[in-house]
Amino acid sequence: MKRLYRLFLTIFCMAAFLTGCDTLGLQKPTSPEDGYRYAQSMMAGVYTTLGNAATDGSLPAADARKYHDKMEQPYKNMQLIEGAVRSSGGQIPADMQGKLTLAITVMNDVATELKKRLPPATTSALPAIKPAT
Amino acid sequence: MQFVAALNIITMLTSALQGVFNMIGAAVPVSQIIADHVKNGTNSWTDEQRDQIVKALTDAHDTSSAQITAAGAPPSA
Repeated sequence: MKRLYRLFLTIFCMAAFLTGCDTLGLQKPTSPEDGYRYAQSMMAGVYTTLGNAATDGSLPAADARKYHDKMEQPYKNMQLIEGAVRSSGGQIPADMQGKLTLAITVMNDVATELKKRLPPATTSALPAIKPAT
Repeated sequence: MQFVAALNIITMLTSALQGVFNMIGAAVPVSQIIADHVKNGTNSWTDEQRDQIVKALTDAHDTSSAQITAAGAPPSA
C-alpha cells in the first residue's frame, strides 16, 4: 500500500511537471515564422476536413461551401505572404504580419466550428488550435 | 479508492502528454510534405520545397472545392 502510494505520488509529480512545461510552452511568444508554419498546417487541415466531411455527408454540402468561402481570404493572404517571404529571404516582412494574424484568426474560427460540429475521427487532420498572436 | 486515484492520475498524464506533443508539434497530422518541412524550419527551405508546399496547399484548396461541388454545393459566384 505504501509502495503504491509512492508510485502514485511520483506519477502525479511527473504529470504536474509536464503540465507546467506545457503551460509555459503555450505562453512562450512564437515567431512570425512559427505562425506561418502553423497557418500552412491549419490551412491544409481545414481543406482536408471540409472535403472529407462533405464527401461522407457528416457536414451538409452548403455548410461546407460556406466554410470554404470563408477560407478564401486566408488563402489569398497566404499567397501574398508566400510571395513576400520569398523576396525577403525567408523572413515574414513586418507589413505581412497583420495579414498572417488575420488569416490565422479566421482559420482558427473555422477549425473551432468544425471541431464542434464534426466527430473527432473526421477532424483528425486539424492541428491543435493555437492563438493567432 | 485506489482505482479512482489511478484513474485520475492516468487522466492527468494523458492530458499532460497531449500538451507536450502539442508543444513540440508532433500532433500535427498534415500532409507529409508540409510536415517534413515544418521539422526543418522556414529559413532552411529551398525555393523548390516552397513550391511543393504552395502546390500542396493549392491542391488541397482545389480538391476540397471539387469534393464540396460533387456533394451538391456548386462554387459561389
